[in-house]
Amino acid sequence: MMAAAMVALLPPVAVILLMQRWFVKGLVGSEK
Amino acid sequence: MTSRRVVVGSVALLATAFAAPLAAVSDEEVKTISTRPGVTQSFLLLPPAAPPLASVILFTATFLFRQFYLTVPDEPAEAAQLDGVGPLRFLWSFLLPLSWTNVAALFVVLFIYGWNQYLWPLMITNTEAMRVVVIGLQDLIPRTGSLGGTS
Repeated sequence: MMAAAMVALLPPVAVILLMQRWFVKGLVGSEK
Repeated sequence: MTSRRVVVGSVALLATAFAAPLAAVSDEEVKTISTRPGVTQSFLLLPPAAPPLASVILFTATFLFRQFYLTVPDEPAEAAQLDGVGPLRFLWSFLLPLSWTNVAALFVVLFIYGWNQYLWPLMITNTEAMRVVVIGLQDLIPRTGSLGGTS
């Protein structure tokens, strides 16, 4: 159960980890 | 003055672009389900619920792009106008490349939002093959019956 829950959470976590730089830039960046 | 119009137009266009798939998907699903007997009843509630949902997401997108476009100075728009570039071309070749990080941020927000959806996928899916992972997780919870067995 816990393992499955972890696996189910992987895609969002992956998106966050891979894109967090752009995410922060997109939200607060003004230098673009 | 003109650049203000370009900004407003760009926001409207991008917002529409992000909202259109949402509206299309909800409409399609509503139509599909409504044709099945027996499920129509519960689905009568959904059409009124879909637009507000879409507009909430739409608000995030609109506000995100608006805040960025407000920081874009007038000069590029004026230069584009001098070069005979129309508003659409200006949006595509200038504003859109600049707002790439905005698009990325919006993608993250909407992806997490969509992934965590529980009620909507639960209502619109009616076969096991259409179930999403988040709903499937529920089946993994061991149910203890009144006889004390686990299965």
